[in-house]
Amino acid sequence: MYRMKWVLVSLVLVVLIAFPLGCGPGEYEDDAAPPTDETLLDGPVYLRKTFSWPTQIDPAIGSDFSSSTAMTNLYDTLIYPTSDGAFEPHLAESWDISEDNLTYHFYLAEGVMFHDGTELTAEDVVFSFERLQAIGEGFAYIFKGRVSQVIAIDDYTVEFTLPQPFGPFLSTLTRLYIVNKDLVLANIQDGAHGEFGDYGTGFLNDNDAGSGAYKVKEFDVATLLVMEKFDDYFAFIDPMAPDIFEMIGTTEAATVRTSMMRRDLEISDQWQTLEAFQSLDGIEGVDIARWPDGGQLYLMMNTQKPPLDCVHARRALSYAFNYTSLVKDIYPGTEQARGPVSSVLPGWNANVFQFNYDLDKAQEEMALSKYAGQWDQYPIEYAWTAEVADLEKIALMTQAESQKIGLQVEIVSTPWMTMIDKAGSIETTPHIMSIWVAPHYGEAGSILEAKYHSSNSGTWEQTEWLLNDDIDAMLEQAMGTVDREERFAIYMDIQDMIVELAPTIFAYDNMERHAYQSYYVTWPQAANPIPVMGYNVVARFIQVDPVKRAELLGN
Amino acid sequence: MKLSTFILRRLALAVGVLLGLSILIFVISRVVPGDPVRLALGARAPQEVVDKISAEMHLDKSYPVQYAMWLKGVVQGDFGTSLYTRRSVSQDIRAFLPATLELAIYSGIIMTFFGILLGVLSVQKKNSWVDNIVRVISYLGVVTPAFIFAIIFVLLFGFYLDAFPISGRLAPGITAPPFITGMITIDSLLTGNFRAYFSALTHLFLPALSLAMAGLSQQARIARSSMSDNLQKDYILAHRAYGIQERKIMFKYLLKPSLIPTVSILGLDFAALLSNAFLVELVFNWPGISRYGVNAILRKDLNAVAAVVMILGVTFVVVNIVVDVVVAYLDPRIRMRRDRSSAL
Repeated sequence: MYRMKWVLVSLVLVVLIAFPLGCGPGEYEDDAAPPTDETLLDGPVYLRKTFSWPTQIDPAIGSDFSSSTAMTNLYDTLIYPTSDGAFEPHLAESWDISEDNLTYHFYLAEGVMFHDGTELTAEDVVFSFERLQAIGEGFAYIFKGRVSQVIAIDDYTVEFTLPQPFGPFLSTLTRLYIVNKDLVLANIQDGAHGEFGDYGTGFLNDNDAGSGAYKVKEFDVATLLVMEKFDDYFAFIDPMAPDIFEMIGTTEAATVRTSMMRRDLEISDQWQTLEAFQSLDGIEGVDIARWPDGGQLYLMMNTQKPPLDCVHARRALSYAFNYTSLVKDIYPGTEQARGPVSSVLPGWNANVFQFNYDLDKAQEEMALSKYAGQWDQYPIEYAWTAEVADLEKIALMTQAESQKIGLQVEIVSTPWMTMIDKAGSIETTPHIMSIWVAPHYGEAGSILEAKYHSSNSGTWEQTEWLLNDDIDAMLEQAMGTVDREERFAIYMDIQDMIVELAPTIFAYDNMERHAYQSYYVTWPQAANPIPVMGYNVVARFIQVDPVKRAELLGN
Repeated sequence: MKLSTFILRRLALAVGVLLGLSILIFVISRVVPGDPVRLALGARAPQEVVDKISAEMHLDKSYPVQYAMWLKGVVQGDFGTSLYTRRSVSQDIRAFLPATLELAIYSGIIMTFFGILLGVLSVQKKNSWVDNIVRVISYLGVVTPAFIFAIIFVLLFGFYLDAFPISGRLAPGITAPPFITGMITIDSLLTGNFRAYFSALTHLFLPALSLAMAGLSQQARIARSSMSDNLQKDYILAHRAYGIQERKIMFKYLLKPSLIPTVSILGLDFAALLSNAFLVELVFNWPGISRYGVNAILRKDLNAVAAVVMILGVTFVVVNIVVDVVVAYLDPRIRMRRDRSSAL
């Protein structure tokens, strides 16, 4: 009896624990049989990509890379950016601008359907804009103070009225995602927006109200967003586009690598280390796609804090920075930045002066400084983000090179939360902070305004505290210039001025890299990237060939 | 002392412990530098929006007022809103805690069963090559972090042997069962969805094994040590003299008293599984509360941090009470001591 009890207990435990050994992982179903070519071709075609998390799918909340990617697949915008920095019609088939550049009319395509089967009309555009502004999060700041009114002239005509001309206005519309007004209003909960309650933030946190090429199938807010193709999509979907697009919230190197090897992952995230990418590149059928993403790594110098309140001291540091070692050893595959704007952004000045590593010139600048001979009294604090180990290498390199010219640099590992706090005032901002900054819309003005207009001082995007009235005026002039070429000409003058003032060491143009299954995935955006975050992983353009995938698995 | 009195007394003490814990974590999370609202909204969010959300979270009030309001909410089951997931923390706990509990339960089963089994084996084959192998495995298991095992298992079982899935809780295409407990294995059994059950088991195996390795090794060592000590006792000698079978002596008369130290540690090990699961959940993309908690800490998601710490605190307290009760059952001497003290 006693023995029987133990035998039974052991049997139950063996069933619970060891039974799975007989099951195997299966493919799309938990089938114990090994996959054959036929079974691999059954079922929906998947496109799976890893991302850094969390992801917000509400167009009035999300603004980071994964959120932008999700929103670009789930929703549509009035215009669509192109790889050369221009834009083309999308929901709006055409538009016109008044003589005074204050009124824009957009003429919507008819018959565009939301995922619930209702038609997208001008009222939805008006509602989407008002919702974005009322909630005030996400990309709302782009339009703050720039648009005074949005109204629906008729079912397919929307009018935007601006208080003053805003040159990049059309570019910014890549961030106005159109939501289904009726669906949102049918799902509002109690909230702070009067009759609009929570404006549907509770509902849109987990669901979509879009018209995009894909719709939400499943959303686990901690780990996974699964989207399925929307068959009634109004625009182009490649015939070989995936049926399911999965955004997976992990960047764990072992998991990514194993999944790529098993062909359970089509595209990796861009946060893998250099060594991980080299390893992924070695997998048969996998290549690395890379392109400049419009962002840069900046070593921002606090221009209000001695000795960096002296332009010669800043120029000395700019000459003492070893750009060659940076792009060759620390971040191979990147290119030294030329000025404050990435080379891929429309409006970049290709002729702006570029500092090069030259210790002699650094010494010359130091001799011209008012602090010459007193450098030992002015130690320089360099804060690098503790969560990003590679930034320490840059900090150490800067420290070593600065020592050669007699500058004392103290490097401080600083948690990101503390970096944000410290950026809040002149006194607390360290002398140097190394941070990546990316543009919010696809032209140079996005970066220039974020980084050098005084109104944005005290944020982690701008810790230089330049507070330059001339640059502010030029930026405002550029923003008010509707003609693209004229606006870009002002951008270029601004870049010349900024480089002259040397408030920042412009380290490198950031390269976005992804490992992907090049044997069976054709990714056209990787070859012609669009300089707007979130627009390069648009599933409707990506081809996934299940036959070729089956070949690889068969091998 | 009666068992019911004992439990009530422990629960009363637990309330005090949890209150102290809540104050501690509340203060620590607010003292750490950084504006969580600004971090969540981004650099370009207008200050008035930051101020609005800060006011909604009562961050503009003094610490004692914030604590009182938070405590009031907790008593009503409202932990506030998470800046990380942008939904109520209660909803997040409901979604993520069962995933970690499920992982911990299966880890606990593996840890207990195989840990004790290895300990028994080791004692039976004492000082043989079997004993030596078990001891080496035990040492390696104790010193190696769970995430190292996780990575090794991902490569070994996930790639080279291609025997188990390495990500998520269910295979693509399999519908999750309706939410009853939130634990997919149990919910699928309750609803008769055996496809989901077996898929969930295969997805559970590697993370559960990774998490169980340290505890399993510790259990094996403790079981071996405890059984070795008791093997020398007179009552074992007496049983042998009576001619009772060695197997019966081992599993009936020796194992039960030897389990007392094992069970005591088991309780702490199980509670520790919940908090140590973070890196394992990260490697296997497991949507558990441990990973949620660490992400909340990194983002200074105040409401989520407080809730997760309280949940883990409650778990530790409950598990310790259960362990005490089980130990009392296993060891009649403890019961007799209690009865004697209550009689006096």
